[in-house]
Amino acid sequence: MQNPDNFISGAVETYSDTIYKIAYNITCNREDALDVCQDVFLRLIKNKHKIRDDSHLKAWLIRTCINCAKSNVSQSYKKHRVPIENADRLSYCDSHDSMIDLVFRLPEKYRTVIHLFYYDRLDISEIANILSLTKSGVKSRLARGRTMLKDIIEKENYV
Amino acid sequence: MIKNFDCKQYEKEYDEIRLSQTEKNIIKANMNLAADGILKKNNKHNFSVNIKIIQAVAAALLVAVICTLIYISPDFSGNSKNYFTIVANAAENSTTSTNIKEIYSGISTSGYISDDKAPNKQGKYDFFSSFDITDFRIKGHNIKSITVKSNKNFCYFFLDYQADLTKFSDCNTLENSQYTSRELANFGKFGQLCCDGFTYTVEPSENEQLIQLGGLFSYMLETDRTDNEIDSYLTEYESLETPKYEIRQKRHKEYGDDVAIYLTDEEIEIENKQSLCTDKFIEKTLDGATIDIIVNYKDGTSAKTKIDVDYIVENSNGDIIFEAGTDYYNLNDCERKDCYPHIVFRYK
Repeated sequence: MQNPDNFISGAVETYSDTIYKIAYNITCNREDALDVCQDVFLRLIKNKHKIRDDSHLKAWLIRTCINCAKSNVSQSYKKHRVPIENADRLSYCDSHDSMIDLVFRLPEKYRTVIHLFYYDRLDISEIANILSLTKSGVKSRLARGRTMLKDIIEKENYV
Repeated sequence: MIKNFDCKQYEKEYDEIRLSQTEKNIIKANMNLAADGILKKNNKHNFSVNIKIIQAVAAALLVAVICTLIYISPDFSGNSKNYFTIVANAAENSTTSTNIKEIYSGISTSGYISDDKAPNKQGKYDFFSSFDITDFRIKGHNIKSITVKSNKNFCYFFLDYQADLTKFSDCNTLENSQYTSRELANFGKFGQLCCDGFTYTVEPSENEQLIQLGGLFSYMLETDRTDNEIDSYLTEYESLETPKYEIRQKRHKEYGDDVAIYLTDEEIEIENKQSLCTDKFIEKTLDGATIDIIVNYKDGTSAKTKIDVDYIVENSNGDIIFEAGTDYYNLNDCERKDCYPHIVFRYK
Protein backbone atom coordinates (compact mmCIF):
# COMPACT_ATOMS: atom_id res chain seq x y z
CA MET A 1 0.00 0.00 0.00
CA GLN A 2 1.19 3.50 -0.84
CA ASN A 3 2.45 5.53 2.10
CA PRO A 4 -0.36 8.00 2.87
CA ASP A 5 2.08 10.81 3.60
CA ASN A 6 3.78 10.25 0.26
CA PHE A 7 0.44 10.08 -1.51
CA ILE A 8 -0.66 13.48 -0.21
CA SER A 9 2.78 15.07 -0.62
CA GLY A 10 2.97 13.66 -4.14
CA ALA A 11 -0.47 14.99 -4.98
CA VAL A 12 0.46 18.43 -3.62
CA GLU A 13 3.72 18.43 -5.57
CA THR A 14 2.07 17.31 -8.81
CA TYR A 15 -1.26 19.07 -8.80
CA SER A 16 -1.07 22.05 -6.44
CA ASP A 17 -0.19 24.49 -9.22
CA THR A 18 -3.03 23.23 -11.40
CA ILE A 19 -5.47 23.49 -8.50
CA TYR A 20 -4.16 26.89 -7.48
CA LYS A 21 -4.58 28.25 -10.99
CA ILE A 22 -8.13 26.96 -11.33
CA ALA A 23 -8.98 28.37 -7.90
CA TYR A 24 -7.42 31.69 -8.88
CA ASN A 25 -9.43 31.67 -12.08
CA ILE A 26 -12.65 31.43 -10.07
CA THR A 27 -11.81 33.49 -6.98
CA CYS A 28 -9.75 36.10 -8.80
CA ASN A 29 -7.71 36.41 -5.64
CA ARG A 30 -4.43 34.75 -4.70
CA GLU A 31 -5.14 34.41 -0.98
CA ASP A 32 -8.53 32.86 -1.56
CA ALA A 33 -6.98 30.58 -4.16
CA LEU A 34 -4.43 29.42 -1.58
CA ASP A 35 -7.23 28.76 0.94
CA VAL A 36 -9.13 26.78 -1.67
CA CYS A 37 -5.99 24.82 -2.49
CA GLN A 38 -5.55 23.78 1.15
CA ASP A 39 -9.23 22.95 1.44
CA VAL A 40 -9.05 20.71 -1.64
CA PHE A 41 -6.11 18.71 -0.28
CA LEU A 42 -7.77 18.40 3.12
CA ARG A 43 -10.78 16.89 1.36
CA LEU A 44 -8.42 14.58 -0.51
CA ILE A 45 -7.10 13.26 2.80
CA LYS A 46 -10.64 12.40 3.85
CA ASN A 47 -11.59 10.92 0.49
CA LYS A 48 -8.42 9.29 -0.74
CA HIS A 49 -9.99 5.85 -0.54
CA LYS A 50 -12.28 6.94 -3.39
CA ILE A 51 -9.40 7.68 -5.76
CA ARG A 52 -8.93 4.97 -8.37
CA ASP A 53 -5.90 6.14 -10.32
CA ASP A 54 -3.94 9.21 -11.37
CA SER A 55 -6.38 10.40 -14.01
CA HIS A 56 -9.25 9.99 -11.59
CA LEU A 57 -7.22 11.86 -8.97
CA LYS A 58 -6.71 14.80 -11.32
CA ALA A 59 -10.38 14.94 -12.32
CA TRP A 60 -11.44 14.60 -8.68
CA LEU A 61 -9.11 17.40 -7.58
CA ILE A 62 -10.31 19.72 -10.34
CA ARG A 63 -13.98 19.05 -9.62
CA THR A 64 -13.48 19.52 -5.89
CA CYS A 65 -11.45 22.65 -6.50
CA ILE A 66 -14.24 24.15 -8.61
CA ASN A 67 -16.79 23.39 -5.90
CA CYS A 68 -14.60 24.77 -3.13
CA ALA A 69 -13.75 27.88 -5.13
CA LYS A 70 -17.42 28.54 -5.94
CA SER A 71 -18.22 28.15 -2.30
CA ASN A 72 -15.39 30.51 -1.40
CA VAL A 73 -16.64 33.11 -3.88
CA SER A 74 -20.11 32.72 -2.51
CA GLN A 75 -18.83 33.32 1.03
CA SER A 76 -16.82 36.36 -0.04
CA TYR A 77 -19.86 37.66 -1.87
CA LYS A 78 -21.89 37.26 1.29
CA LYS A 79 -19.39 39.16 3.35
CA HIS A 80 -19.56 42.12 0.98
CA ARG A 81 -16.16 43.22 2.06
CA VAL A 82 -12.65 43.09 0.74
CA PRO A 83 -9.60 43.02 3.00
CA ILE A 84 -7.47 46.06 2.43
CA GLU A 85 -4.50 43.88 1.55
CA ASN A 86 -6.49 42.57 -1.42
CA ALA A 87 -7.14 45.99 -2.83
CA ASP A 88 -4.15 45.71 -5.16
CA ARG A 89 -5.53 42.46 -6.51
CA LEU A 90 -8.88 43.98 -7.15
CA SER A 91 -7.28 46.67 -9.18
CA TYR A 92 -5.27 44.00 -10.94
CA CYS A 93 -8.50 42.17 -11.83
CA ASP A 94 -10.04 45.37 -13.06
CA SER A 95 -7.12 46.41 -15.20
CA HIS A 96 -7.32 45.70 -18.89
CA ASP A 97 -3.84 44.95 -20.01
CA SER A 98 -3.61 41.17 -19.94
CA MET A 99 -5.42 38.13 -21.22
CA ILE A 100 -6.06 36.97 -17.66
CA ASP A 101 -7.77 40.27 -16.84
CA LEU A 102 -9.80 39.93 -19.99
CA VAL A 103 -10.98 36.45 -19.05
CA PHE A 104 -11.75 37.62 -15.50
CA ARG A 105 -14.45 39.82 -16.99
CA LEU A 106 -16.44 36.75 -17.98
CA PRO A 107 -19.02 35.12 -15.72
CA GLU A 108 -17.54 32.22 -13.79
CA LYS A 109 -19.10 29.42 -15.80
CA TYR A 110 -17.53 30.64 -19.01
CA ARG A 111 -14.09 31.42 -17.66
CA THR A 112 -13.83 28.01 -15.98
CA VAL A 113 -14.47 26.23 -19.26
CA ILE A 114 -12.09 28.55 -21.10
CA HIS A 115 -9.39 27.94 -18.51
CA LEU A 116 -9.75 24.17 -18.55
CA PHE A 117 -9.74 24.12 -22.33
CA TYR A 118 -7.00 26.62 -23.16
CA TYR A 119 -4.73 26.33 -20.16
CA ASP A 120 -5.17 22.84 -18.77
CA ARG A 121 -5.61 21.50 -22.30
CA LEU A 122 -8.42 19.18 -21.27
CA ASP A 123 -10.53 17.92 -24.12
CA ILE A 124 -14.26 18.55 -24.40
CA SER A 125 -15.30 15.19 -22.96
CA GLU A 126 -12.95 15.54 -19.97
CA ILE A 127 -14.37 18.98 -19.20
CA ALA A 128 -17.89 17.63 -19.65
CA ASN A 129 -17.22 14.89 -17.11
CA ILE A 130 -15.61 17.20 -14.60
CA LEU A 131 -18.34 19.82 -14.82
CA SER A 132 -21.22 17.34 -15.17
CA LEU A 133 -22.16 18.91 -18.49
CA THR A 134 -22.91 17.46 -21.88
CA LYS A 135 -20.25 17.84 -24.56
CA SER A 136 -22.50 20.23 -26.44
CA GLY A 137 -22.92 22.20 -23.21
CA VAL A 138 -19.15 22.59 -22.94
CA LYS A 139 -18.86 23.58 -26.60
CA SER A 140 -21.66 26.06 -26.16
CA ARG A 141 -19.97 27.65 -23.14
CA LEU A 142 -16.69 27.85 -25.01
CA ALA A 143 -18.41 29.48 -27.95
CA ARG A 144 -20.33 31.93 -25.80
CA GLY A 145 -17.30 32.70 -23.70
CA ARG A 146 -15.30 33.58 -26.77
CA THR A 147 -18.13 35.64 -28.19
CA MET A 148 -18.29 37.53 -24.94
CA LEU A 149 -14.54 38.10 -24.96
CA LYS A 150 -14.86 39.52 -28.45
CA ASP A 151 -17.68 41.76 -27.26
CA ILE A 152 -15.68 42.97 -24.28
CA ILE A 153 -12.76 43.86 -26.50
CA GLU A 154 -15.03 45.78 -28.84
CA LYS A 155 -17.07 47.47 -26.12
CA GLU A 156 -14.06 48.49 -24.13
CA ASN A 157 -12.52 50.00 -27.24
CA TYR A 158 -9.61 47.68 -27.21
CA VAL A 159 -9.67 47.91 -31.01
CA MET B 1 -3.80 47.10 -26.82
CA ILE B 2 -5.67 43.80 -27.00
CA LYS B 3 -7.12 43.02 -30.39
CA ASN B 4 -8.37 39.52 -29.79
CA PHE B 5 -8.23 36.70 -27.28
CA ASP B 6 -4.79 35.20 -27.67
CA CYS B 7 -4.82 31.80 -26.00
CA LYS B 8 -1.03 31.44 -26.20
CA GLN B 9 -0.58 34.73 -24.39
CA TYR B 10 -3.18 33.60 -21.83
CA GLU B 11 -1.22 30.41 -21.27
CA LYS B 12 2.02 32.36 -20.91
CA GLU B 13 0.50 34.73 -18.36
CA TYR B 14 -0.99 31.85 -16.36
CA ASP B 15 2.38 30.12 -16.23
CA GLU B 16 3.44 32.97 -13.98
CA ILE B 17 0.56 32.32 -11.54
CA ARG B 18 1.98 29.60 -9.38
CA LEU B 19 2.64 28.62 -5.81
CA SER B 20 6.09 29.27 -4.46
CA GLN B 21 8.03 26.26 -3.19
CA THR B 22 7.59 27.67 0.34
CA GLU B 23 3.82 27.75 -0.09
CA LYS B 24 3.87 24.18 -1.39
CA ASN B 25 5.95 23.08 1.56
CA ILE B 26 3.54 24.76 3.97
CA ILE B 27 0.60 22.97 2.32
CA LYS B 28 2.46 19.64 2.48
CA ALA B 29 3.31 20.17 6.13
CA ASN B 30 -0.28 21.12 6.95
CA MET B 31 -1.62 18.15 5.04
CA ASN B 32 0.76 15.75 6.72
CA LEU B 33 -0.33 17.07 10.10
CA ALA B 34 -3.97 16.71 9.12
CA ALA B 35 -3.40 13.24 7.64
CA ASP B 36 -1.62 12.18 10.83
CA GLY B 37 -4.58 13.23 12.94
CA ILE B 38 -7.07 11.46 10.74
CA LEU B 39 -4.97 8.32 10.42
CA LYS B 40 -4.50 7.94 14.14
CA LYS B 41 -8.19 8.44 14.73
CA ASN B 42 -9.16 5.89 12.10
CA ASN B 43 -6.53 3.23 12.68
CA LYS B 44 -8.27 0.76 15.00
CA HIS B 45 -5.35 -1.67 14.89
CA ASN B 46 -2.75 0.78 16.05
CA PHE B 47 -2.01 -0.21 19.65
CA SER B 48 1.13 1.82 19.96
CA VAL B 49 -0.52 4.45 22.09
CA ASN B 50 1.67 6.59 24.25
CA ILE B 51 1.06 8.40 27.48
CA LYS B 52 0.37 11.72 25.75
CA ILE B 53 -2.47 10.20 23.75
CA ILE B 54 -3.90 8.63 26.92
CA GLN B 55 -3.74 12.02 28.64
CA ALA B 56 -5.39 13.72 25.68
CA VAL B 57 -8.16 11.10 25.55
CA ALA B 58 -8.71 11.40 29.30
CA ALA B 59 -8.95 15.18 29.04
CA ALA B 60 -11.38 14.89 26.13
CA LEU B 61 -13.52 12.41 28.05
CA LEU B 62 -13.57 14.72 31.05
CA VAL B 63 -14.72 17.62 28.87
CA ALA B 64 -17.35 15.39 27.26
CA VAL B 65 -18.66 14.25 30.66
CA ILE B 66 -18.83 17.85 31.94
CA CYS B 67 -20.60 18.97 28.76
CA THR B 68 -23.07 16.11 29.04
CA LEU B 69 -23.77 16.92 32.68
CA ILE B 70 -24.35 20.58 31.82
CA TYR B 71 -26.52 19.59 28.88
CA ILE B 72 -28.80 17.26 30.86
CA SER B 73 -28.91 19.44 33.94
CA PRO B 74 -32.48 20.69 34.51
CA ASP B 75 -31.04 23.91 35.91
CA PHE B 76 -29.13 24.63 32.77
CA SER B 77 -30.55 27.78 31.30
CA GLY B 78 -28.71 27.65 27.94
CA ASN B 79 -30.18 27.06 24.49
CA SER B 80 -31.24 23.45 24.90
CA LYS B 81 -34.52 24.06 23.06
CA ASN B 82 -35.07 22.34 19.75
CA TYR B 83 -35.31 24.74 16.85
CA PHE B 84 -34.25 25.23 13.28
CA THR B 85 -34.38 27.92 10.68
CA ILE B 86 -33.41 28.00 7.05
CA VAL B 87 -30.68 30.53 6.60
CA ALA B 88 -30.85 32.82 3.61
CA ASN B 89 -28.08 35.10 2.67
CA ALA B 90 -29.15 38.73 2.68
CA ALA B 91 -26.90 39.58 -0.22
CA GLU B 92 -28.38 36.93 -2.45
CA ASN B 93 -31.83 36.88 -1.04
CA SER B 94 -34.08 39.09 -3.12
CA THR B 95 -36.78 39.33 -0.51
CA THR B 96 -39.94 40.52 -2.14
CA SER B 97 -41.89 40.97 1.05
CA THR B 98 -41.07 40.85 4.71
CA ASN B 99 -42.12 37.26 5.24
CA ILE B 100 -41.00 35.60 2.01
CA LYS B 101 -37.44 34.46 1.73
CA GLU B 102 -35.54 32.87 -1.09
CA ILE B 103 -32.56 30.65 -1.67
CA TYR B 104 -30.88 31.29 -4.98
CA SER B 105 -30.15 28.10 -6.88
CA GLY B 106 -26.83 28.88 -8.47
CA ILE B 107 -25.81 27.83 -11.92
CA SER B 108 -28.05 25.73 -14.11
CA THR B 109 -27.18 23.39 -16.91
CA SER B 110 -29.43 21.79 -19.51
CA GLY B 111 -28.95 19.10 -22.07
CA TYR B 112 -29.81 15.68 -23.37
CA ILE B 113 -29.07 12.71 -21.21
CA SER B 114 -26.22 11.61 -23.45
CA ASP B 115 -24.47 12.79 -26.56
CA ASP B 116 -25.92 10.02 -28.66
CA LYS B 117 -29.33 11.00 -27.24
CA ALA B 118 -30.56 7.59 -26.14
CA PRO B 119 -34.33 7.53 -26.79
CA ASN B 120 -36.76 6.91 -23.94
CA LYS B 121 -39.60 4.38 -23.86
CA GLN B 122 -41.69 6.55 -26.17
CA GLY B 123 -38.82 6.70 -28.66
CA LYS B 124 -38.24 10.38 -27.89
CA TYR B 125 -35.31 12.18 -26.36
CA ASP B 126 -35.43 13.37 -22.78
CA PHE B 127 -34.00 16.68 -21.78
CA PHE B 128 -32.59 17.46 -18.35
CA SER B 129 -31.93 20.60 -16.39
CA SER B 130 -29.97 20.64 -13.18
CA PHE B 131 -29.46 23.41 -10.68
CA ASP B 132 -26.53 23.68 -8.29
CA ILE B 133 -27.77 24.46 -4.80
CA THR B 134 -24.77 26.26 -3.39
CA ASP B 135 -26.07 28.26 -0.46
CA PHE B 136 -28.53 26.08 1.34
CA ARG B 137 -27.92 26.19 5.09
CA ILE B 138 -29.90 25.27 8.16
CA LYS B 139 -29.24 26.76 11.54
CA GLY B 140 -30.58 25.09 14.63
CA HIS B 141 -30.14 23.39 17.94
CA ASN B 142 -30.10 19.69 18.88
CA ILE B 143 -30.42 18.61 15.26
CA LYS B 144 -29.61 14.97 14.60
CA SER B 145 -30.42 14.76 10.93
CA ILE B 146 -32.19 16.58 8.11
CA THR B 147 -34.46 14.91 5.59
CA VAL B 148 -35.02 16.61 2.24
CA LYS B 149 -37.65 15.28 -0.17
CA SER B 150 -38.91 16.40 -3.56
CA ASN B 151 -42.69 16.22 -3.98
CA LYS B 152 -43.04 16.59 -7.73
CA ASN B 153 -42.81 14.07 -10.52
CA PHE B 154 -39.76 14.54 -12.74
CA CYS B 155 -38.06 16.61 -10.04
CA TYR B 156 -35.44 14.98 -7.83
CA PHE B 157 -31.94 15.38 -6.45
CA PHE B 158 -28.49 14.12 -7.16
CA LEU B 159 -25.69 14.03 -4.67
CA ASP B 160 -22.58 15.80 -5.79
CA TYR B 161 -19.32 13.87 -6.20
CA GLN B 162 -17.99 16.04 -3.40
CA ALA B 163 -20.63 14.83 -0.94
CA ASP B 164 -19.49 12.43 1.76
CA LEU B 165 -21.89 9.52 1.21
CA THR B 166 -21.38 8.23 4.75
CA LYS B 167 -23.41 11.22 5.95
CA PHE B 168 -26.29 10.50 3.59
CA SER B 169 -28.92 7.83 3.98
CA ASP B 170 -32.34 7.05 2.51
CA CYS B 171 -31.18 8.14 -0.92
CA ASN B 172 -32.58 4.97 -2.43
CA THR B 173 -35.94 5.68 -4.04
CA LEU B 174 -36.37 7.39 -7.38
CA GLU B 175 -40.04 7.32 -8.20
CA ASN B 176 -40.00 10.85 -9.60
CA SER B 177 -37.86 9.82 -12.57
CA GLN B 178 -38.58 7.68 -15.62
CA TYR B 179 -35.14 6.19 -15.10
CA THR B 180 -33.65 4.10 -12.36
CA SER B 181 -30.84 5.53 -10.30
CA ARG B 182 -28.54 2.95 -11.89
CA GLU B 183 -29.52 4.02 -15.40
CA LEU B 184 -28.83 7.66 -14.58
CA ALA B 185 -25.54 6.72 -12.93
CA ASN B 186 -24.53 4.88 -16.08
CA PHE B 187 -24.85 8.09 -18.04
CA GLY B 188 -22.17 9.41 -15.72
CA LYS B 189 -23.32 13.00 -15.68
CA PHE B 190 -25.44 13.28 -12.61
CA GLY B 191 -23.29 13.01 -9.51
CA GLN B 192 -22.95 9.97 -7.33
CA LEU B 193 -26.56 9.09 -6.67
CA CYS B 194 -30.00 10.26 -7.83
CA CYS B 195 -33.00 10.04 -5.52
CA ASP B 196 -36.32 11.67 -4.61
CA GLY B 197 -35.01 12.56 -1.18
CA PHE B 198 -32.30 11.90 1.34
CA THR B 199 -31.41 12.17 5.00
CA TYR B 200 -28.27 14.05 5.99
CA THR B 201 -26.75 13.11 9.35
CA VAL B 202 -25.37 16.03 11.32
CA GLU B 203 -22.16 15.90 13.34
CA PRO B 204 -23.33 14.71 16.79
CA SER B 205 -20.91 16.91 18.70
CA GLU B 206 -22.43 20.19 17.63
CA ASN B 207 -25.26 21.79 19.55
CA GLU B 208 -25.69 25.25 18.11
CA GLN B 209 -25.33 24.28 14.50
CA LEU B 210 -24.99 25.95 11.14
CA ILE B 211 -25.35 23.08 8.72
CA GLN B 212 -24.19 23.67 5.18
CA LEU B 213 -26.08 21.49 2.72
CA GLY B 214 -25.26 23.72 -0.23
CA GLY B 215 -22.76 22.23 -2.64
CA LEU B 216 -23.61 18.69 -1.61
CA PHE B 217 -26.55 18.16 -3.90
CA SER B 218 -28.26 19.50 -7.01
CA TYR B 219 -31.88 19.74 -8.02
CA MET B 220 -32.72 17.97 -11.25
CA LEU B 221 -35.62 18.17 -13.69
CA GLU B 222 -36.37 15.88 -16.59
CA THR B 223 -38.92 16.06 -19.38
CA ASP B 224 -42.23 14.27 -19.31
CA ARG B 225 -42.70 13.75 -23.02
CA THR B 226 -46.09 12.17 -22.49
CA ASP B 227 -47.26 15.68 -21.52
CA ASN B 228 -48.40 17.33 -24.76
CA GLU B 229 -47.37 20.82 -23.74
CA ILE B 230 -43.87 19.79 -22.69
CA ASP B 231 -43.53 17.59 -25.75
CA SER B 232 -44.40 20.54 -28.02
CA TYR B 233 -41.64 22.69 -26.42
CA LEU B 234 -39.11 19.94 -26.89
CA THR B 235 -40.27 19.27 -30.47
CA GLU B 236 -39.75 22.95 -31.26
CA TYR B 237 -36.35 22.83 -29.57
CA GLU B 238 -35.33 19.83 -31.64
CA SER B 239 -36.61 21.37 -34.88
CA LEU B 240 -34.11 24.19 -34.36
CA GLU B 241 -31.16 21.84 -33.98
CA THR B 242 -30.85 21.07 -37.70
CA PRO B 243 -30.74 24.69 -38.97
CA LYS B 244 -28.31 25.56 -36.19
CA TYR B 245 -26.10 22.62 -37.13
CA GLU B 246 -26.23 23.53 -40.82
CA ILE B 247 -25.21 27.13 -40.21
CA ARG B 248 -22.35 25.99 -38.03
CA GLN B 249 -21.15 23.41 -40.52
CA LYS B 250 -21.18 26.00 -43.29
CA ARG B 251 -19.12 28.42 -41.24
CA HIS B 252 -16.71 25.70 -40.21
CA LYS B 253 -16.12 24.95 -43.86
CA GLU B 254 -15.69 28.63 -44.73
CA TYR B 255 -13.59 29.82 -41.83
CA GLY B 256 -12.26 26.80 -39.97
CA ASP B 257 -12.82 25.88 -36.35
CA ASP B 258 -11.16 28.86 -34.79
CA VAL B 259 -13.23 31.58 -36.42
CA ALA B 260 -16.42 29.60 -36.65
CA ILE B 261 -16.60 29.18 -32.91
CA TYR B 262 -17.96 32.74 -32.66
CA LEU B 263 -21.73 32.77 -32.94
CA THR B 264 -23.45 34.77 -35.65
CA ASP B 265 -26.62 36.76 -35.02
CA GLU B 266 -28.54 34.03 -36.80
CA GLU B 267 -27.17 31.36 -34.46
CA ILE B 268 -27.80 33.54 -31.43
CA GLU B 269 -31.38 34.00 -32.53
CA ILE B 270 -31.83 30.23 -32.82
CA GLU B 271 -30.21 29.64 -29.44
CA ASN B 272 -32.46 32.25 -27.85
CA LYS B 273 -35.48 30.48 -29.29
CA GLN B 274 -34.18 27.22 -27.88
CA SER B 275 -33.64 28.89 -24.52
CA LEU B 276 -37.25 29.98 -24.52
CA CYS B 277 -38.32 26.38 -25.17
CA THR B 278 -36.15 25.25 -22.25
CA ASP B 279 -37.61 27.96 -20.03
CA LYS B 280 -41.13 26.82 -20.86
CA PHE B 281 -40.36 23.17 -20.17
CA ILE B 282 -38.79 24.04 -16.83
CA GLU B 283 -41.65 26.35 -15.84
CA LYS B 284 -44.21 23.70 -16.69
CA THR B 285 -42.28 20.93 -14.92
CA LEU B 286 -41.84 23.04 -11.80
CA ASP B 287 -45.50 24.06 -11.66
CA GLY B 288 -46.55 23.26 -8.10
CA ALA B 289 -43.17 21.77 -7.12
CA THR B 290 -42.36 21.75 -3.44
CA ILE B 291 -39.67 20.31 -1.23
CA ASP B 292 -40.17 18.97 2.28
CA ILE B 293 -37.54 19.77 4.87
CA ILE B 294 -37.86 17.57 7.93
CA VAL B 295 -35.52 18.25 10.83
CA ASN B 296 -35.08 15.31 13.22
CA TYR B 297 -33.93 16.30 16.69
CA LYS B 298 -31.75 14.34 19.09
CA ASP B 299 -34.67 13.73 21.45
CA GLY B 300 -36.63 11.86 18.75
CA THR B 301 -39.00 14.68 17.85
CA SER B 302 -39.07 16.31 14.43
CA ALA B 303 -40.28 19.45 12.69
CA LYS B 304 -41.29 19.90 9.07
CA THR B 305 -41.54 22.77 6.64
CA LYS B 306 -42.45 22.97 2.97
CA ILE B 307 -40.52 25.02 0.44
CA ASP B 308 -41.88 26.22 -2.90
CA VAL B 309 -39.69 25.93 -5.97
CA ASP B 310 -39.96 28.64 -8.63
CA TYR B 311 -38.19 29.27 -11.89
CA ILE B 312 -36.99 32.82 -12.47
CA VAL B 313 -36.43 33.98 -16.03
CA GLU B 314 -36.55 37.73 -15.49
CA ASN B 315 -33.81 39.93 -14.16
CA SER B 316 -34.36 42.68 -11.59
CA ASN B 317 -35.31 45.10 -14.40
CA GLY B 318 -38.08 42.78 -15.52
CA ASP B 319 -36.28 41.78 -18.73
CA ILE B 320 -36.32 38.17 -19.85
CA ILE B 321 -32.96 36.51 -19.31
CA PHE B 322 -31.70 34.41 -22.20
CA GLU B 323 -28.96 31.85 -21.90
CA ALA B 324 -27.71 32.66 -25.37
CA GLY B 325 -27.15 35.88 -27.26
CA THR B 326 -25.37 39.08 -26.43
CA ASP B 327 -28.20 41.51 -25.72
CA TYR B 328 -28.54 40.79 -22.06
CA TYR B 329 -24.88 40.88 -21.20
CA ASN B 330 -24.00 43.55 -18.77
CA LEU B 331 -20.46 42.45 -18.29
CA ASN B 332 -19.60 44.90 -15.56
CA ASP B 333 -22.39 43.86 -13.29
CA CYS B 334 -23.69 40.56 -14.48
CA GLU B 335 -22.13 37.78 -12.49
CA ARG B 336 -25.03 36.18 -10.75
CA LYS B 337 -28.76 35.85 -10.76
CA ASP B 338 -29.48 38.68 -13.17
CA CYS B 339 -27.50 36.88 -15.84
CA TYR B 340 -28.96 33.41 -15.84
CA PRO B 341 -32.36 31.84 -15.50
CA HIS B 342 -32.36 30.12 -12.14
CA ILE B 343 -34.63 28.54 -9.57
CA VAL B 344 -35.34 29.83 -6.11
CA PHE B 345 -36.46 27.92 -3.05
CA ARG B 346 -39.07 30.10 -1.38
CA TYR B 347 -39.80 29.62 2.28
CA LYS B 348 -41.66 31.54 4.95
